[in-house]
Amino acid sequence: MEINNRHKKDNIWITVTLAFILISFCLLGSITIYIDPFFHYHAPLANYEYPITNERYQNNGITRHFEYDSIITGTSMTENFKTSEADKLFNATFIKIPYSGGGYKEIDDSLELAYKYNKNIKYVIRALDYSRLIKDKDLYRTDVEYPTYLYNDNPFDDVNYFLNKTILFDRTMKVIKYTKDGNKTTTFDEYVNWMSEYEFGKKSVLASYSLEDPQPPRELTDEERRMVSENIQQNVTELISAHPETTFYLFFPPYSICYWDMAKNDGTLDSQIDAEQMVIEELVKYPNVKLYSFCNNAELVCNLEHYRDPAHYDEWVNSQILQWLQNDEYLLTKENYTDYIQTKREFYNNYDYSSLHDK
Amino acid sequence: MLFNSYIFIFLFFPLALAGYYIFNHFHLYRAAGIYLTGMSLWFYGYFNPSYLLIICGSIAVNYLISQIMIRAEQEYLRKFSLILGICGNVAVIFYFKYFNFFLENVNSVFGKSFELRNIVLPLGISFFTFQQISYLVDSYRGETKGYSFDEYALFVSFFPQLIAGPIVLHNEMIPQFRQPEKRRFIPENFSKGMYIFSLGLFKKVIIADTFGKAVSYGFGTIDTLSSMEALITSLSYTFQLYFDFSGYCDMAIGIGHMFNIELPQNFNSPYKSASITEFWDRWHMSLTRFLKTYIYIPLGGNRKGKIRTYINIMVVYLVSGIWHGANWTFILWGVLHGFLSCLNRLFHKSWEKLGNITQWALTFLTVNILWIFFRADNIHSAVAFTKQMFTMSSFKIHKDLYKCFDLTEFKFFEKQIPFLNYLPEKITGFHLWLFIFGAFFIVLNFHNSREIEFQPNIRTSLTTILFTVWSVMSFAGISTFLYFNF
Repeated sequence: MEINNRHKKDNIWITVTLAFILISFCLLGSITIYIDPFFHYHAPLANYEYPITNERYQNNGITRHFEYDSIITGTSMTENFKTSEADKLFNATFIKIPYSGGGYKEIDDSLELAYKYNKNIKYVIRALDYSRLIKDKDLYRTDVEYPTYLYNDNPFDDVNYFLNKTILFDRTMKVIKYTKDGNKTTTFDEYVNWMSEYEFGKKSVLASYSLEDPQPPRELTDEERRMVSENIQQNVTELISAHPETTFYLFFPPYSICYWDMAKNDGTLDSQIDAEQMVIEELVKYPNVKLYSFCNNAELVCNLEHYRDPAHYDEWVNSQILQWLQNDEYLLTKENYTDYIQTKREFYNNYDYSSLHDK
Repeated sequence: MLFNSYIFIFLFFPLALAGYYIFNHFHLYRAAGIYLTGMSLWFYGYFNPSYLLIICGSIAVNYLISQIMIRAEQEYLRKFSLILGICGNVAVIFYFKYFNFFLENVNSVFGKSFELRNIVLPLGISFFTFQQISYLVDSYRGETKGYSFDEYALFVSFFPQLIAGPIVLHNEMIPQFRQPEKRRFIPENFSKGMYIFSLGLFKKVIIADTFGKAVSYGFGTIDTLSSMEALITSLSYTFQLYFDFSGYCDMAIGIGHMFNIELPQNFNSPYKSASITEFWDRWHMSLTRFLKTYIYIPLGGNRKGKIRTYINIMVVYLVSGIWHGANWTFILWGVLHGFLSCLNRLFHKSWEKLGNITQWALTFLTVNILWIFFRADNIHSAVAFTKQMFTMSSFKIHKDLYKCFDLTEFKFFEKQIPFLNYLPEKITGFHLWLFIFGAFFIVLNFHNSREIEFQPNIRTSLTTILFTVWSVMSFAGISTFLYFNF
């Protein structure tokens, strides 16, 4: 009798405990699924305002559920773009999905997913960073774990998303508070714009780098040629060929003169220009590509007031770039690219870099 | 697969339980065992299916050798099989765990430059190898007759104890699987198992992993640590190691209960110990039992005179050190524990004269300092760390160390409920001290899982619900993509 009683008691205990565990999971999980701070299931709800701050966690949702017909993407060189300006200039609806420190592969993967979610993409504005060009074609950042459960269509691994206390308390609940406090959903003009976080000007730029012992100049090695070729083919041109309906506005970000100071010093100035030439020769073949480089605009690259370090320029430059793209200024073509390369080689090889470091 | 993962909790474990009890319900006991073995192999091969070759090969070969020993009549053949079996197991573990360490030392001592190999250490190899060595020895002694291959395979691969122990013996496992009354669903065991599992999960995920963050911070910045930070880091490691390992074992024991299988106790409140010898009777008890039964006693134990006894003790601790990892830090750690054990034996009477509290404090402090050697990347860093701790140079605590203990949920609820925020606002680093003093309180006052008298009541139910839900919600976090150029 006693054993039966104990049996019964334990059975009730097990049922109740398991039921409450399951109910708790459902309740907690449904809050994140409903609010959906990373837009994994739906676009922002009309009655909530969303802070958008996290590229690797939110860009995928933006491409899945936002309304758009054009995309701005790239590394931090594209973070200060304002889609409101692009919308007006191109008469389109842009989203901005940058990946700070991202390699070509990461950016290409996200574009491929965008095409999966949205069949009508008119324009893609994309930066092609020199610093990520001569790299392995599969390069991804390795210092962090990517939330791959957000990128795939497997509903089961979403458990990482909706049964996740950091997301629940730090993101989902934050949407509620953010809305209560009277904020508005982050615009793509504001999204990851870092203008207010840094100081600009010669002093900041020079303080942010130092030169090692100078190395003799060298050309691009065969191994590097292979990397560039594979990187461009897998992560740029395959997508371009697959989508003739889209115009790709590709540009080399105008790093400052100090970037090339470092390149000259470590002997890679010419090899980097060789690599660039390879890319240009490949890309000018495509009718749906418009390729730009602003590196020969000495007035821009030598004016360190626009830079915070050797590469990063301020938002004024981003606005300027949009105008140039729209007006086809600095456009590289089959006809003009050899002149461009020659001018670039001469300018950057003969520049008096020591003048940068004069006190 | 880890116990503290979504796939384990939501898919693997329910499937394993359901399948096992369904087969048993229809009295298909053998099929239930084979099913559980299959599930265990999935559990093991989840991260890297190529590990399966190693474990399956190891199970098959060891079973074969044991069969030869059981069947052979000639003593020399039995002895030869035993030696071959032990050497084979040791060779496998040597190759996977120690080969590169061996090469590194050969290179540095003899100035050679043998290239290191890219060897991936199979999970839990140290555990299942020891388990099988014990089985071989017992087979030689004639204590294992009559196990079928599938019983043996289940004994070795049974997933709760497969990758982190306890190191179980055949005679405490196989007879349990053979009892028909243990093959049916027993609510008393199941509820108790759920409760113990949730305690273990909480110990691992909430307590140990939080301390783990502080430990990574501290050991990552040894050169700039203040004495206070070094002390906090070393205590954090002492607690991390205990809550991690014993939490994992509690989960194993809890899962065992849910299958009506009792696994041996592995921890008996070790930080309550009043001497190093006592510590080893309470810490990782299944390893201590193995070393005692299969090394210390065969070497003669304490029966061959004082000097041999001390040598035997040192050998056991040396093996323990080596077993824990391929690094001089582990060897030194083992040797120091051995040396202190010998001292404890030698000066037993004087030690007894010290008060309880002094004994406990000295033991805890010693264990704490020796864990630094266990954790450090090399002996040099361990010494540097210990120096930082004792120079008493500065008592500052960096805000990043405090932050390790600021759990998201604490901050959230403190913001929502002002009353909760009272202490955190008044006391700098409140959460850090809460964890440190809380952990002290738990290890010194709480009953361990074996001593728990489980009652199916509201308190245990709420605890199970809270600990399970809280822990599962903590499995995944958000990675921080720190800004770096471009």
